[in-house]
Amino acid sequence: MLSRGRFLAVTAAAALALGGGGVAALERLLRGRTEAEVPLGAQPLGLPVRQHAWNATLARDEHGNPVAPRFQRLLLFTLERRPSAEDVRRLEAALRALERRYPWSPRGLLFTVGWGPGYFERVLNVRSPIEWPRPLSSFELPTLDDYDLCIHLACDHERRLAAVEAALVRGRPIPGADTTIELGGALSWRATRTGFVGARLPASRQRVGGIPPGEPVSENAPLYMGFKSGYLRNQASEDAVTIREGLLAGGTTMHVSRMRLSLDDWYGLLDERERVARMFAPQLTPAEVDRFTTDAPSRPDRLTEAASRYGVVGHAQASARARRRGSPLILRRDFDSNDGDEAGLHFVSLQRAIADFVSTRNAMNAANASYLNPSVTATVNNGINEFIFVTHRANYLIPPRAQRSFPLLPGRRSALA
Amino acid sequence: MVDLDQESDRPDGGRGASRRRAAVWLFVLLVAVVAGALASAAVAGSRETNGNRQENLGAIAARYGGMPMPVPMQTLGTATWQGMKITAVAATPLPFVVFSGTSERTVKPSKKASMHLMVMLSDQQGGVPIPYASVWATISKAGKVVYDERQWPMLSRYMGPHYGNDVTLPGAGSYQLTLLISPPQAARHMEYANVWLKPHRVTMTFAWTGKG
Repeated sequence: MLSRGRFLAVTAAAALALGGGGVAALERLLRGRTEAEVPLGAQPLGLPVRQHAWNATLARDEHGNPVAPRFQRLLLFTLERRPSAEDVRRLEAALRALERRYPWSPRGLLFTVGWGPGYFERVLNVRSPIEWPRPLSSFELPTLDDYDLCIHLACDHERRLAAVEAALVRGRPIPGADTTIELGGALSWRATRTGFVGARLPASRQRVGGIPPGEPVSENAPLYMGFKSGYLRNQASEDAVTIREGLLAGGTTMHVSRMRLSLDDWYGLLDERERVARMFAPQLTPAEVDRFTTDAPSRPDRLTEAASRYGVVGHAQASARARRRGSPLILRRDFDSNDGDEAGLHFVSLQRAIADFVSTRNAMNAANASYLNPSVTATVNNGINEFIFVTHRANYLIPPRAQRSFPLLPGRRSALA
Repeated sequence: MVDLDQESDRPDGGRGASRRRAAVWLFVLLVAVVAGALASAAVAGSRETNGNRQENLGAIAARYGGMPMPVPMQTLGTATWQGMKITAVAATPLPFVVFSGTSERTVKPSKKASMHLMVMLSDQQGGVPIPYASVWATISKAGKVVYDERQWPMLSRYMGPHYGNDVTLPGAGSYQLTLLISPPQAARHMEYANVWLKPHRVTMTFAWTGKG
């Protein structure tokens, strides 16, 4: 039975519908929903269809390599119940508010919204378009995250990320924003992982566990291990990692792992040449690495020689064996961290399918190298495997922007109408 | 090295041999006493939680087929995994040599080092050491990681093949040692065909009252 208020509302909606524009409103009201209380707000024009389309906005170094946003943050949520239409509108409204407040660039704010396999299987009761995470080497037993939602935030301003997190998680106002945002509802915040990448940042945050005393991380190091990571040609393109067909075309997949760094021996035991051998290839010299411009050619074709003759396998050398028509399979957006006063790495990578990440990780493991030379084991003289300890793994699907709020949820289209 | 079995064949009717045997045993006893005294000074973790206990090396080394030596040791904990015995032992910090690709390098313990951690993997029944695995050790105190490193595959005349490294702890107290053991990567006789195929984690609690 309709209440008096509901009757009046339905009548009003019917009048609008008769006027030619209120069918969706009428439908919502007849279903007893209250999403009209959550105004969606306008979305700025010109935003890319792909959430992961960041590269065009990034600054470039002197060789044309993209420069990653200096600060990044992962917000992790679970769903407490099946989402309502109001939850859909609340999330979309919050994301649009961020888009209105900040330009889509590192000077403003970049972000992606990704959904875990549990969202699809538990909440939607459909087959997940992405695999559940699993251990990916013989020397790891990580926690396999089961978060439903991961929001990856990135920009060049650390305080801005903190403000955005406070807004999304606790409803704090964002300075200059035209509305307050808070996810709340069915979404429950569980954890935040923070980090940074770029010259001076690791050096200024190196008094943490995992980094030996003496401040060995140099000022110009973009990451704790001292080497640059994001060479243009050593990364998959955004096109290459984009899902091309199906309901989620325009989206991508994201793997997120958390690693502790253990760099006592990296800096205390190894000299620069030995670090180059392990990061890139033993056939390379530090001078050659210094001359890298847009790629880190690390002789993957000579891995057998590296193991048998040098007794050391390079990380890039091993990983580069995973390629498709000569190009890398994954687009790395990893960043360092000092969460918990421990040196860490949040490894975020995008790929068309999680299988591409698994292939790359398997190549990095160089599990066959110990058969070539027993001095190379899973965690000794084998790339950087002995300096990283994987504690968490997770997989997410990043839908295209238009489907980012509760993708594939029945009724979402009308909820957002 | 003294071979006790050969001495009884000497032509003096065994009296000289008996005296020498007595002298040798006296020497061994003296070594054990000294080792025990050193052990008391360095590690006072006996009768602590989780069964970790302190004993002279003779007993520990003999258990793993090794020979006695005058270094105090403390068993931090033991566990089993599909017929593999996992034993974590602390000795006094010591230098060792690592083979890094094409060269050897001596790794000396820092002045602050607390212990030389040794992780022995052995067949639970036969006691034969199990090589070709990887061991990663993480030590936490009150939930905070204070040590987190892969262990070197290591050879020792006295302890046989094991996995180890020097470790610095921030002081006395109760610690949690977590070992991540990877499957041994080697061809296997059939009795080992279906065991140790995935990584395995064990956690031990030990009390440390020695150097930190």
